[in-house]
Amino acid sequence: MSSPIRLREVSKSFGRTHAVRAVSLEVERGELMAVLGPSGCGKTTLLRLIAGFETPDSGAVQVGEDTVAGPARLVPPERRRVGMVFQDYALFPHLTVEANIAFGLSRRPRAERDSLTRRALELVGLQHKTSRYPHELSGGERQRVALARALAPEPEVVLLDEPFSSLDATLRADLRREVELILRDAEATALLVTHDQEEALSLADRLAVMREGRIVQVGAPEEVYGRPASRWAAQFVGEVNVLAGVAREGRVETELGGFDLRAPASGTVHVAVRPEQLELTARHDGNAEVVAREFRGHDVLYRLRHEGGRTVLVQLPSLELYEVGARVFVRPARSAVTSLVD
Amino acid sequence: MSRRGLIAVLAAGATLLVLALVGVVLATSGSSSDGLDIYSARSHYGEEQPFLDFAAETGADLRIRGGEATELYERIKAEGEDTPADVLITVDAANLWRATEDGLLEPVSSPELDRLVPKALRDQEGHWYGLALRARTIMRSSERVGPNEVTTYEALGDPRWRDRLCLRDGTSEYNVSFVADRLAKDGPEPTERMLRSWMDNDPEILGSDVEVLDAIADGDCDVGLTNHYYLAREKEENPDFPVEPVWADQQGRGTHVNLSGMGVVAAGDRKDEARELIEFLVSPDQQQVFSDNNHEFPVTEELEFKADPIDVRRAGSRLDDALSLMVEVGWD
Amino acid sequence: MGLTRRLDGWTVFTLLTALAVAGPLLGLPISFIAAPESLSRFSGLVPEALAATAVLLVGVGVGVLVLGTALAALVSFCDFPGRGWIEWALVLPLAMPGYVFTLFALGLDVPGIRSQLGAICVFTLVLYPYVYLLARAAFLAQSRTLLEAARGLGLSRRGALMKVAIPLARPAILGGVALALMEALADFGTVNLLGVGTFTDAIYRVWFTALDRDAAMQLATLLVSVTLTLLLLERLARGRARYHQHAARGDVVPPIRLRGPAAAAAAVLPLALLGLVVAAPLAQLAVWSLEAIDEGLLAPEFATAARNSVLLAAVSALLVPIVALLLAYGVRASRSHAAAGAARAATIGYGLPGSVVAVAVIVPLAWLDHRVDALTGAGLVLTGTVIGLLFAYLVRFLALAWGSIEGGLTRISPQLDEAARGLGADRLDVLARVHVPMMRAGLATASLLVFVEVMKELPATLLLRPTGGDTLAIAVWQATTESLFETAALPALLIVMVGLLPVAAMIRLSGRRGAELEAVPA
Repeated sequence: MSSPIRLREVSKSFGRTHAVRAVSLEVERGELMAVLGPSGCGKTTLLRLIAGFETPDSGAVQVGEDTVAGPARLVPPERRRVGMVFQDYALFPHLTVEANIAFGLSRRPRAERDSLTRRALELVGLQHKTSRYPHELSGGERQRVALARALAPEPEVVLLDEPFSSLDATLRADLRREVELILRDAEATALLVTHDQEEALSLADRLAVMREGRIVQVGAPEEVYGRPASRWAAQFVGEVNVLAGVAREGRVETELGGFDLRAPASGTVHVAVRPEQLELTARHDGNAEVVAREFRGHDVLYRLRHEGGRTVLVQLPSLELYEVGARVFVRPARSAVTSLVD
Repeated sequence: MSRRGLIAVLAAGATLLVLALVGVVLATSGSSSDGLDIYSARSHYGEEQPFLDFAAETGADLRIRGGEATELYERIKAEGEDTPADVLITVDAANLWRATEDGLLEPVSSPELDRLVPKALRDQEGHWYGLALRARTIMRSSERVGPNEVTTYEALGDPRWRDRLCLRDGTSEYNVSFVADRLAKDGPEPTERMLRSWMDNDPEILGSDVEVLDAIADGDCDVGLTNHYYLAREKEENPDFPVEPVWADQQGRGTHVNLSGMGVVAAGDRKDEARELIEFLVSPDQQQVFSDNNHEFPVTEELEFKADPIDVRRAGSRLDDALSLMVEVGWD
Repeated sequence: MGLTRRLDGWTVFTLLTALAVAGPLLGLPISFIAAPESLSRFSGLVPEALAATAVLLVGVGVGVLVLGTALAALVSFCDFPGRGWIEWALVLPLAMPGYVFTLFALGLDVPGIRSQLGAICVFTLVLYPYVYLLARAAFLAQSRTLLEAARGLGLSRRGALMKVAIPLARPAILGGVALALMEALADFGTVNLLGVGTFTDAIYRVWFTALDRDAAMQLATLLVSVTLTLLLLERLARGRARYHQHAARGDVVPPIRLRGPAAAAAAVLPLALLGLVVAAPLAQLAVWSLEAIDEGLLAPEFATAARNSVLLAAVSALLVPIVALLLAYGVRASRSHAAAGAARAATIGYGLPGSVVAVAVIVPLAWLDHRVDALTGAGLVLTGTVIGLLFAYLVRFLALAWGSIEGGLTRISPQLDEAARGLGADRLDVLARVHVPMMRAGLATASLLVFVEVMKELPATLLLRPTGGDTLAIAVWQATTESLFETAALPALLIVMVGLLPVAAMIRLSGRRGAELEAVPA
């Protein structure tokens, strides 16, 4: 069975801007994949190329068995079997919840239409609000209607464009979980676009990191976080200290101490050390001074000035606090394993 | 609304549109073959009687299209060979001239017409015939101005009428035709001198001949220039209306007379009937009807004063000069 | 690939329709080639018409600016007895065509009415609602926090109004002024009856009294350029107005409660104005109508004229919004610049006097007619029938429908189109299932506006109506030019009554404050 989505060398430019450059990507059936990248990296264009709202300059897009965009072929959006959830949901304001969800089913036989609508409503838990209008719903409910509407016609894949960006921070985490459960319940294949790394890391089975129109890394969240493919990827996905050091076999010596390497190397290298891979102890003769402290509840991010002059980020549980100005000793945590970066 | 719904609405809309179109087309016109079409600029209400009589007498089916003479002329021209028009009736000489120039009118020879209509009131080649005469002359307040105080058009420019003169605006085709005729007969300098002397009197400019008459009656001014029949209409309603006409230039060429005229449309397909209608309208009985209804002068009778009928050809070719001159001297 | 994709049915349709509508107007300048000498014979007329038009535009501009803004500020920022309904009643003069008010003034023999000043007063009184409506919408959209911030910075209430509220609403106010000026430019009846030598009047003079159509078309070309300039100004002003309205956040400004003589004046002055512009003319027209009926002075074809008016207006009210909708949607669906430009060109007919539209339309139509006739022998199916007239109405009023329809369409987020298409809807489906239901109010407004404007339309009807096709407006005008005011009254009364319909509908639609009245004639 083929992948629900397969992109081959897809490129798209607008005037002189190359929004998407030779992107190849495959999404597995039942998988939830996130495309993560800063704004303007071309991730939304990528989504629109798949949905059919943009036409690729070159390359091919395959949805299910069909090539929907390619050198000799262009299938209009309405015949692509792709569901889309928009950033601000794009619910039809003149239609009720039920009619919104049934919108994509208008050519199905009535019985099928009703049962698919009912199933989608149950899936998102809105059976009791079928005759409400979008403006009568809360943000989270609208989100769920949009999702149900996209899922109802049983598309090959659901595309979600920054689905949580218009919600409050407090709502966001809950909804993220909820959407994930709904998508998994529906056994849907989903491709989600976001600039929020926390969202991508926590939600996706796999993520694709995108920069300036290219995909720079694809992998499971822990892989992308733990083994960033480049210094840029390391910095974009979470906070990082990039340290220079001398590698010998499985170890690297840096000015902060020695770390294990994932893969043996030798010579002068750079390694990506995550803030939580460092430890602090309060010492008057310590090698660093606390310059700033960001209290985040369950943990604390410290910004230190190392005696060598560089700034070092360290993240610790909030059990014990160090004051700004305190002298500390910073060293690698016991289990720290790092990767080389460019 | 579903897709089928929209298509249904569009189809219904289109059908309705077509039906309405057909309905309106049928309601507002007839095919040109089964009747006599008259394009008449004489839109005065209550003037249909002679036409109705003609229809009754001959059994012809008449349709009258009203409108401004220029509008009718443009239509006949635009319609070209396909025009439904058979007869064109204008209220002034200018449009008769223009229609003749453009070959829109058919020369008609009819001994009866030649006998009834004096030579000066018809085209030499029979393109058009006068229907009724309209004198454009001086009006005076019967209370404040004596009968012999002003007797010529030039005299309206006498400084004694400063702030006492009322004129209709320069848009009026009667005024433009009047000036064009003066230009043709007197030449540019005397005409311009006369108009300037009028303007020097700071005349009050009004929107219609009726307003000019009312202004004289109300004492806003003492003398003015209007077509004679407007006064006749006022007098019919109110015999004591304090305005009297002065037949201008009786010692000279005579009072300026414009004419309402008619001709057979060259592209029309009922020329014989059209000629018969014209003959009918200049018959003494019908001339009397026009005179009674609208107080115009018949073309078939001697006038009670010395008249100077407009020189259609020469005045016609001076229309733009007339308008330019009027703009120049400030007669708006 | 991209190109072949873009040149689809919608683009072609949009381009063709726009060309058909704009073509006749774009052909006007040809008159300069056809008869280059024509206009020079009336060289005195052009500066005079320019001067008269300029004076009129400046006078009316200042008049509507002051009156419209003052009234809008009064009802937006002050509270006084009767404010609730005075607020909407102030829109009613929209229903009063300039020539009907003129008929009333002339019939009463108002001294000095036949002058530049008279015309300026008439236009100011009947056109101020354009400024009033847009200014009021802008005032209501202004945020309370902004005005409070101004006061926090030490400005008095009046200072905050003059230095913050009015400058903020400036784009909307100027947009309203531009609309009013275009109406004044396009007017024929009022200036003709009042003897003011504006461009419209000059066109009429060279054409109808000097019988020179080429010169008339050349004057029309000049007028078109003046109108286009105004249109451009209006567009610029409105573009910014939208931005401002969307940028505004927060609560509506709380009005100041007026007391004592101030409150009385605030209630009485607008009422006096309405009495003058609406109530008095209506009463006078009613009296004259009764007299006319009594004395048998009704225009002989009154019933036919009423029927024709209603038929023409109804057919146009159906035809014009449908074309506007398809055109606007074509632009949206094709996403092509050419289509957008063409559609823009198709809407310049508004703001042009009907007489100009009529000349522009009759020449190509007659040409086409003769070709068709030569081929089929069907006779003059375009100029000889009402079809030519309906086409002229389309050219003249497309922009009117376009204003409310395109405005409504742009307020529908393109994401909704995409959402629908992602759900299996093709372009026609999107129009049918998303746009039309969402724009029902806008479509109804467009339809009503066209209906009323066609009822009022005079010069194009005068020239293009088929034999026997007199309308109410023509009856009014013919009777008024002959000073038969009683005869003119009943048809005039009917026109005003019908004109009240869309005004009432607009008021009803704008029941909700804030987002309202954006579908004003534009």
